[in-house]
Amino acid sequence: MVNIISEVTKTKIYDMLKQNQRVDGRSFTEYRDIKITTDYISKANGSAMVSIGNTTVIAGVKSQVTTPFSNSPNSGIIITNTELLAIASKSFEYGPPNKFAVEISRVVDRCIRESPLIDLEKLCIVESERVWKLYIDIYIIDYDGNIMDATSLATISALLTARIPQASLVDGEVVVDEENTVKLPVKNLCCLTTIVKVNNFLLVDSTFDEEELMDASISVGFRSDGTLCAIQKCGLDSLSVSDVRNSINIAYNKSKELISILEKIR
Amino acid sequence: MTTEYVREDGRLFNTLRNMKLEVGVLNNADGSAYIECGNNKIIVGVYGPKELYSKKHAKVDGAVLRCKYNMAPFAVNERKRPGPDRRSVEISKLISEAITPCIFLEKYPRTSIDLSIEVLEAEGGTRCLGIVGASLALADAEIPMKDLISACAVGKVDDRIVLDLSEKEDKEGQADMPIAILPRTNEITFIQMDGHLSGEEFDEALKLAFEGCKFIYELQKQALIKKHEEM
Repeated sequence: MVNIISEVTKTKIYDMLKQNQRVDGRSFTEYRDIKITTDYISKANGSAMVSIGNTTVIAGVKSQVTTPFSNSPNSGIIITNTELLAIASKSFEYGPPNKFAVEISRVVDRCIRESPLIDLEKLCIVESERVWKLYIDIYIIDYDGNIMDATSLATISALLTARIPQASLVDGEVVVDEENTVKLPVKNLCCLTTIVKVNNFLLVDSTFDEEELMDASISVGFRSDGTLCAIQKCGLDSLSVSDVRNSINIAYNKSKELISILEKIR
Repeated sequence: MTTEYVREDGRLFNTLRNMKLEVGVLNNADGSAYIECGNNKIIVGVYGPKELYSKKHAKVDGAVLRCKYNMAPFAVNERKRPGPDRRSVEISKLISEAITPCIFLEKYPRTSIDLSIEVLEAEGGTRCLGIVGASLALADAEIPMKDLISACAVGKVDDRIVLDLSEKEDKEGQADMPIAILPRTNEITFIQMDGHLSGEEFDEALKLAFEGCKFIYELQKQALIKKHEEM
């Protein structure tokens, strides 16, 4: 289904951008209000509901003891899955994850994996036999642009606050102690900032209308030490070298803000 | 039945869990509702009536109600695989049939009304709460209806008939009977039962279910009024 955006809205967005303004009164590099509710789902090991403006996302973490992959026998497993719920937008349909949902899962997965946010080796219980598997399920509840940042914030918040049962080895058997839970082994904090290029202007935290008019977008992942950990360009148009440089600079500055928010809930 | 009997979670036989009903929680949907009941968390969204792209599914004499009940992977203790399973397909069908009698579908030929029930966290009784939320979301979408639909479960636990079974009571109890009614006319649009009940117990359970539904009906009306007061 094609989203239709009215000519009036379109002209208004373009005209205001030329005067260095956005329709909702924000500056180009300003986020909408960010609200994070952690431990929202009591049945999940970790969970967070994140709203950025009118975009709402829930991430839930579930843990399970399983056998490791043969190419990484001493490392835990993370599986990320995104569902674009039909309640979130009239353009979302039920069915298996489409290419947009898969891209979101993969970009967020890459950001937390490369940082690395979680020390996966510490999730190993018995080498080549038993490791923790973390399922991260992302639910898009309401859609008003910038899903990527909302999703990454929700995922990271859920992982930071998650508690998994203690697993120990007793007589060669893995015993999972559901009563005593521990936090996940966090290594490096990270965050993802998406910059959208609309008519040669670079905007942080695009709304749905701005995203409809975008030429291209770039999502940049930063670690808390200020180094890059992931980049993904989306959209049909090209970005110049200076666009990319400027975007990374903007993302670097915004990452400080996001990391300080994440530090608080940790 | 002695009224002194206290259930495991401290409720009496005819007490519902703490309930929170909210209307108009989603920005994009034409109508929406959010329900918390105990630890159950359910969000319902309605899109439509809108043009139905698949012409072969369209009906010339009315709208098609497409209803999806879907459970989040993190909603239950053991992670649920995303996507439809036999349980959610059955529940989707039953909820759709529970709601159809009360909507004036004939007003919107060749269109569809898409209803999504998303269970974010489940703790027993999600199908009833799904129906309660669905009728609120439809009302929020200003789709003409004969009445709101109220639903609740009754069951038998420790040889006693109780209202609104918790997850544990549902698993360990002797019977479980979810019911949906049109409260103004007392018509039953949805009923299921599993377990064992005698004839007398069934009558008692039905009476208790009607009381529960009527109470929830008042909460539903309040939730709708509250939204319009805020506006």
